[in-house]
Amino acid sequence: MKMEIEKEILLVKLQHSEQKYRSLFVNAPYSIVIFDTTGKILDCNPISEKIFGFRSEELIGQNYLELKNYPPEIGLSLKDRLSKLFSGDAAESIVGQVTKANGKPAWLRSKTSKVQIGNDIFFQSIIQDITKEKEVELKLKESEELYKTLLRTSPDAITVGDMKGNIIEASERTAEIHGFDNVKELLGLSAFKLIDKADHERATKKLMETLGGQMTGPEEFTLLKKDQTKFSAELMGNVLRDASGKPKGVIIATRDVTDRKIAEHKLNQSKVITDNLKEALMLFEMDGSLSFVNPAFEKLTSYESKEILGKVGLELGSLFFESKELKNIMEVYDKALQGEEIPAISIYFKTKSGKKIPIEFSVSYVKNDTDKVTQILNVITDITERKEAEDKIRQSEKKFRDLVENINEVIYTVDTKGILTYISPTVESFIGYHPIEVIGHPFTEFIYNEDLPSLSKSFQSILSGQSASSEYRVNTKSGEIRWMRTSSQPIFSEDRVVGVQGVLIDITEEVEAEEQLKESELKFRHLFERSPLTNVLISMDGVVVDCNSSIERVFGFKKEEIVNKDFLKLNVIPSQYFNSTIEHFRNIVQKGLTVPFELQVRKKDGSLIWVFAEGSLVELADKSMVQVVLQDINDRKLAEEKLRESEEKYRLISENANDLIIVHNQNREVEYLNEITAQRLLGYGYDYLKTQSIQELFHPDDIPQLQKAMPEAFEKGFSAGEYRMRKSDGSYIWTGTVTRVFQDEHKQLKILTVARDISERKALEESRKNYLHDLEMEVENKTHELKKDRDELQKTLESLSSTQERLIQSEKLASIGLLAAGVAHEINNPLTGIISFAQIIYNEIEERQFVDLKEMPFSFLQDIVKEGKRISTIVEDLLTFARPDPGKRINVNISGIIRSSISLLLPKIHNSKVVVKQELDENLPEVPINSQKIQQVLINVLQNSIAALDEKFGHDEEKLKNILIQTSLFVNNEENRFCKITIIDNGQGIREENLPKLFDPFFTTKSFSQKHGVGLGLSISYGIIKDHNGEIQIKSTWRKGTEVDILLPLEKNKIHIHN
Amino acid sequence: MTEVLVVDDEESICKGLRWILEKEGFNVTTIMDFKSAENIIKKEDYDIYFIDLVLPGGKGIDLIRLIKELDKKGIVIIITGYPSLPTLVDSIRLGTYDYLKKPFFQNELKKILGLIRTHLKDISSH
Repeated sequence: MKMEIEKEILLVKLQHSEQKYRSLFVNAPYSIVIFDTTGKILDCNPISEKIFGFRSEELIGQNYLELKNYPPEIGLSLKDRLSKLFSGDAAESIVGQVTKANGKPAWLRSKTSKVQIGNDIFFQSIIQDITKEKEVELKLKESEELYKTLLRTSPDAITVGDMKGNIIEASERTAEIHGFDNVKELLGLSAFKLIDKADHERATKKLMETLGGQMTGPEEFTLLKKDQTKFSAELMGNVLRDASGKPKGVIIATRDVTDRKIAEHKLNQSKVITDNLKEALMLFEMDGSLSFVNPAFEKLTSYESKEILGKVGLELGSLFFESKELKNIMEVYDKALQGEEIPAISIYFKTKSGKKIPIEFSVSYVKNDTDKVTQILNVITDITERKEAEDKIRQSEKKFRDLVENINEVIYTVDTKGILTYISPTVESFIGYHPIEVIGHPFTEFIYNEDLPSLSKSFQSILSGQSASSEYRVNTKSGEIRWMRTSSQPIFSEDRVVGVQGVLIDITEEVEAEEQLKESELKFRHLFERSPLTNVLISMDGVVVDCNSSIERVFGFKKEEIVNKDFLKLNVIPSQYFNSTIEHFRNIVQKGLTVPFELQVRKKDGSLIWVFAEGSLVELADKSMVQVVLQDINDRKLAEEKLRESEEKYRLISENANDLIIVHNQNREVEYLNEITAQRLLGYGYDYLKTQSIQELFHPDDIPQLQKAMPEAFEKGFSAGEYRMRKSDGSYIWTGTVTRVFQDEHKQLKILTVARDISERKALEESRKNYLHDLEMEVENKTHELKKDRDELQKTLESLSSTQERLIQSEKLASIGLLAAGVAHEINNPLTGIISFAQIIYNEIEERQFVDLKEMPFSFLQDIVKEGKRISTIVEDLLTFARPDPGKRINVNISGIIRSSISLLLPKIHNSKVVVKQELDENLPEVPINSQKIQQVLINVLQNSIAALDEKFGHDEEKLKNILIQTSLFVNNEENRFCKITIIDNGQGIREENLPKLFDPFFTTKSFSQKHGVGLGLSISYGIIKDHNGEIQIKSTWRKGTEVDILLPLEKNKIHIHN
Repeated sequence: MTEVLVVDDEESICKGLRWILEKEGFNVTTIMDFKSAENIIKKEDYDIYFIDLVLPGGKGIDLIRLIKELDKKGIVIIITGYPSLPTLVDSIRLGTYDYLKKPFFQNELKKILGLIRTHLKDISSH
């Protein structure tokens, strides 16, 4: 029973203990989980329900190690721990995060221990929820990390030092400003190592003050970098206190003022920057007035700041912009004021000089701290260059686009057999075939037959590895033939040609154009070459570029000799045309003037021909050239010249003709009259003639014959007659008149009358009638004598032939024409004087009231008398010369005649200081002569001698001037006896060429100042001597002297006949 | 002052021309032979030359030729008593301005002087 009681007691005890432990177990403030060695939960207290979120019933029977709450790593570490527990290790706590049944995370700490009851081994885990504890810790950690990070990354350099001044923490900026690579290098260092020694004392004081709780402002110190370089910084300290408020260190904020100093410097520089800014700035105040411009603005706009500052925007706007553009600007301002952001606008700005420049114009606002707009800033950028660049790009872009748009190529590939393997779709527009119709076909199918051989050859060469291009024709789908050009290359694959690729261009139009060009070129070349006109192309520098072959006709040069030569150096332009040619060339080149002109050119052989040249400016292949067309007008020009000469000749002949020429029309109106001749012959001209009737112009006796002449002229075509015409002074002159009727080129009948002054002829006829009569009488007598003495006649005839030369001279004397010429000249001279003087006096008398005859021009009246006398002498001489003077011949002593002649000339002989020697044969028989005439001859000869001496020696030489007069008896071959007079002087002599002319009437070698005759002297002398059947001969040597021999027959029965 | 040279061997012509031309306001020099004319032409410049074609010592046409060779600017008028056509043509080719045929009347001389005046004015206005 005892046992039973004991057992009972034991049981009760056990029951108590069990209750006690159970209560402990159930009421434990922490979760207790009991599990066996497999991990199977045997029991758990109610609080476990709270921790795990599961009810006890749900937990018991579960495997503790595989609870859903654990993240896998906790389960693994639990298993690890358990195995350690089996081997008897002490329990260890594990902290881990779990997820509760409600999904909330929770931090748990578990401590597991081994419990052995009998042989049974259990494990009990005590689990605490440490989530709250863990959260606080995490927050602290986060916070600490945050501050650490803040400290590290602070823009200010912050250094934390302990009470000894060693650095325990620092920001990265601190490391940076002190030149350390990272913060770690700083930790543990004494903060004083970062301060310049000179500042240590001050720093210590500052530190003490700070630790003492004094608030101190920032103070500048000189700090050191790792490499000991110094820099300025402001330091500000603060005490770092622990939780109990005891100071445990100091926090130092360092501000490197180097940057600020630089910034300050930069700030000072900002004005310099604005001043040097490329952009032009304008700053407007809110009242609209301009308050600032920078120098760039002044430079850009040429306005000076003082001219525009203070003016309002609108006023300036109309100054700077065109009204249209000003409107745009205003819109921009409006938008900007409404807060819109406005991009810069491109616009033209008018500078002070009025020049418009492209600018970019932007508006922005200057705001104050309170975001209020205080000023308006305009930035102006000169975009001239950009604009130009843009234009260039635009052009280039357009060019490129055009190129791309106009690209018209077909790309193809062909295999080695010539089968087309690819062709680009453009081909359809080329030949009308779609690529499908082409690919897979041999290319030869499309080629124009004629071009196949050469193309195949080219294809072979490409296959051999060469590139080639060729031009050929293809047949299009529509049957048309078109020209193509390909440029092909071989396609290589591993050094082997596997095909051909190329580009195809349709060149049909190009070829056609070329064909047309060729044709055209040929056409124009032929036109140029075969032009009948000579064409020369000359470059601007004067080189012959081309010419046609007809050039040879003009210059005699072949084309090859001219082309590429300097035209002017060909020497084809004679000097007189050189300048005008250059002038023409210049006009063409510079002014484009084409003035044709005529000039002579020199041919290769040196001869000159006339050409017509016309040049023009032509543009050939971008070069200006001068095309000159030349035309040979030599024949025309020569004909023209001849015609002009001829016209001039006839005009001069007519005007100066000695004959009066009158042309009447059918109505008897005078159409032409040679005025000068009419004035000379009749004393009146056309104006007078046309007012007069025929009756008034002619001698009344001639009127009846004259009236018959006109009808006769109309009937026969001409009529001739001799009429007397009335002169203006009322006297008449004889005219020989021929009237012709003819048709002019206009088929008009004209009457041409030529009237010749035949007064002299009439007068000569009269005297000749007498002369012939005398002659006939004499011949009759002589014939009678001849019959008696035939031999004598024979001798006379021989003598005649011996004096043939003199007879020819006689012929000349009879020449009226020659005589008239001389007379005209001789008489016209004094006549001119008379007319001039008379007219001068006439005019003068009209002008003046008082006349003094001793004064000019009235003294000219004496000149008129003198000139009148001269004319009278001429006329007298002429009569002497022209009319044979039978006179009376008396036998006289020739010596007496000679002496009287000398005495007549004595004043002249003395005046000229001439010595006259006489060697006269006083035994000579008397000579039958007209003494007056012979005296005239002697005087004439002596006068000539004196003149010749004066000419040679002048007037004041003595002794040298000699005249020798000799007389002697002379018997000729026929034993005729003559008195010979020889007059020799040592004067100037006569030139050999003048000797034959000595006896020509009016021939003279003396100038007027010396002469007193008119050149008739010797002619008259000759006539007188001939009249006496004598001879006169002159021998002379130039500059030596002259000898005159006069032979006068002593017998009267010797005659010379002349007609 | 317009300078005039008269070359003529006729004293009366020189005298008459001098009177008329001086009255017209010209400065007149008269020369009566070829040699002196040649010398004075070489030395002096004249605006108008009156030259007789037949002169003692030479031909007037040679004086005209000389004037042209020396490139003188003056106007040449020839005076001729008996105009021979070839001489006239020669002188005109040498640039002779006009000619006076002896005997001449004042109106002919005045006409020529009128032409010369216009001509001289033309030249001076260029």
